[in-house]
Amino acid sequence: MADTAVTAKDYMNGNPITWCPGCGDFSVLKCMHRALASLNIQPEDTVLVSGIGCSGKIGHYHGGYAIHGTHGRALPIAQGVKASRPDLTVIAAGGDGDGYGIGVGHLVHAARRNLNFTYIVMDNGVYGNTKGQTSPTSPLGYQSSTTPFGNADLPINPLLLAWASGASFVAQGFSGDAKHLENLIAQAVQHEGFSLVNIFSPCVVFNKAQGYDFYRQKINYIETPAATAQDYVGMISPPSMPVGVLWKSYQKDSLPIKEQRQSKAEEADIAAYLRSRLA
Amino acid sequence: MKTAALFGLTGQGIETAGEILSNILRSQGYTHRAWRDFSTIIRGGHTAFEIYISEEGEATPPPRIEKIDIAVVWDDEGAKRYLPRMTDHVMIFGSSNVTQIQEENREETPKLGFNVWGLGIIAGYLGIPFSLLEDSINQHFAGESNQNLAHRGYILGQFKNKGNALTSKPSSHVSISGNDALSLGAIAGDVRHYFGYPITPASEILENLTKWLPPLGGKTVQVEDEMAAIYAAAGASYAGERTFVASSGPGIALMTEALSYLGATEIPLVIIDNQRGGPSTGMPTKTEQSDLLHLRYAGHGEFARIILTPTDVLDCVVVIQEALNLADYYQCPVIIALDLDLAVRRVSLPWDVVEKAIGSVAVDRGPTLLESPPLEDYARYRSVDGAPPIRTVPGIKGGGHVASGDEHDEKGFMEPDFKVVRQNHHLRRLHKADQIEYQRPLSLIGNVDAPVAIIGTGSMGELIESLVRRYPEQYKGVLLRQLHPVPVDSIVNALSAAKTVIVAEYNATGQIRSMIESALNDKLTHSLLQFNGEHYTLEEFQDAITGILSGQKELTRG
Repeated sequence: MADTAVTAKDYMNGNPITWCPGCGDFSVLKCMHRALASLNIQPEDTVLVSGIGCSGKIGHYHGGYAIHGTHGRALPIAQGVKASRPDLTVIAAGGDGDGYGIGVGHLVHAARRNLNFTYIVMDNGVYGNTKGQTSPTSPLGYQSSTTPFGNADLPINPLLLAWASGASFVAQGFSGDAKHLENLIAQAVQHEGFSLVNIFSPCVVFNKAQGYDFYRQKINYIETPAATAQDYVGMISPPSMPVGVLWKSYQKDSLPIKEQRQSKAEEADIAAYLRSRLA
Repeated sequence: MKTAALFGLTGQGIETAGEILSNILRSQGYTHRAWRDFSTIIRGGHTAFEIYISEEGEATPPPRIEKIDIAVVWDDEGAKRYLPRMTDHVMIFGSSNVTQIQEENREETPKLGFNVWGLGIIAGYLGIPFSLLEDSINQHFAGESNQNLAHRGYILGQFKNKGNALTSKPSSHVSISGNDALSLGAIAGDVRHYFGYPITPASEILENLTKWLPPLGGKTVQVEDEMAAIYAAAGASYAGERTFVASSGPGIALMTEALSYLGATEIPLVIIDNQRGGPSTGMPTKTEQSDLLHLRYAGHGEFARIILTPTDVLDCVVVIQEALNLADYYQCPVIIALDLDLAVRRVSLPWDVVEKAIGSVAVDRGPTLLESPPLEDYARYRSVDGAPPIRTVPGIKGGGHVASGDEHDEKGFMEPDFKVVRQNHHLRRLHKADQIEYQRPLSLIGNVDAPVAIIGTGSMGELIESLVRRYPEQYKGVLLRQLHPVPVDSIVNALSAAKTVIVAEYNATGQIRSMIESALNDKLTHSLLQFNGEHYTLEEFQDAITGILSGQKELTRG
């Protein structure tokens, strides 16, 4: 229920942003705020839960409520919020190092559990905050201080992994196409279940190989989500880089209702209730 | 007091038989204490059930004592364990597998069905009306052969019955374990959401709340690991919902990063450690109190915490409610440390005693702001004159803030001026629980003038209380309920007249003693240390104490 019409500006908290100029995350932040505003969600009814890394700082620039957690733990924290306060709009956010490395186990269970919240991953294929190590989504052959002879590990395929774990909504976007991204995020937030939005968000300082031009050339726009498993797997298999809503396994869409928080039972009733639970 | 034991293989339904017996006694109003022993192996080991029944009219559950009045065992392993403890050797019965007891006390019984036969013997001996037994057995172990076995056993037991009779009377007794008590107390303390991961011996809390929360509009989520549990709990707490986590040593170890996170972000949370034998996977079904120093120091960096230690089952109902209030007020981790024996021990108590404990602590959310008109210029970590900062929850307009593990300023923003922030904000956050307003940091048992003071907590509580009751001129008990911050003044006062102090604990290095050392300065102090995983019987405990006092065994600290 909206009190007044919301604009993206209502979501800014005035805290100066310390991302590097040109960082893809600026666009992600703006698109997320625009998406929430377009759905008329009040800032105080949102909780943005982030992990550790440059992307993790996004919570500090959010004018609603935010939890800046530890490395890889944004998903459990977000699910704790959502499970206990379904009246709130919950978004988990972080980078590829945070979410697909240390946090990858939680991704599987979050997809299985299918609580109604959105997970935004700012995927730049590198550990930027710690100055440029290879990440779970860095391509084969990627060179960095920790893989000076070229990365020998196959990159994680988050779209496949989330889908295989039962994710009911999977999308991929590009921070260089803000209009498209804003719409993606709005759809993800409205989806009634777990929604993953993996976003190519270039790190202009440490991953110059995968910058804006690189993505602009590689991405292909998908208008309709895959209808079958075979279509989906074909759509997301490398070297394809599809952007759009790629998988939506059912059409339930809604937004949390700002309802009265439950009042706790009277003390006398509680004792009687507890007595009834014992042998 | 009457005592009985049933011993067999895991998988023979010994535990269920014990529950039936316990339930019948409870329903007839007999205060009692059950002791469960379970093998660390799910199949292929042994398990036992012992019951200690108070005299009629007694409201306090008895401790575990040495003497067993009647025992039924499946094999020689059981005979070996219980023969030395029998009041009378003719009162031990067994299946035909047992070679060490007299033939007239042995019978051919099937492997599955032995437990029902044993239950019958014990019921007959205690004078439980057979109809009560019959109904329960039908419920759990239906079938004619089970009925026959129970009857056969009953006649055997009746033969040895020397005028025992359990009167059939309506009772308001309930049977609860330490874990049950914590679950009850949590709900009384307004917990409606719980995130847990199975681990011995804390799984029962998860299982209880899975059943008990939904009818109240709440829910339990079994999560994928302990880190998910504590981080989900942190999220729920940030959102204003009361919750807690419960685990044991290995799970607590996985949660230590989160402890530091909670300390930094000042998100309230109660953390329960049902300690078991360590280190590492250790002895999952044995009792120990060896995590205390870990709980005192776990989590990198420096931040405030509180540690409380319940001393009996009823205390568990109260301590978790107190902990929830303290966590809300001080906005720091509040750790409840108990041990396996206290967690799984089942006692039968009059319901009105339990009800009183449930209602004894009013829910107090402290500086938590659950509802408010729109706020202006709100800063989450702004403290006015050293008072706890007001904590908004999502939904309050203008109350938005970021809770960050990174060092932050008053508003919660990272990358602040560290020099300023570390001098003000960090020190306030670090020292805020150096002194706490806690009503009852310890319980003093017995005569204040007694020359020997025994200090302990957790499952030691019942032993200390029982020993003091037996020898009130000689001993007094100091049962600690607050371990950190150490209530130095209270301990010093409690010990004032004592000539000798014994700190009794279930670990090898005297952890409690090391933590309260400053309160013991001028006293002649000894450590009583037990670390083989077994909870003492009262006699064993008494022998250990007198051994120390007579100087025969000087147990030294590691």
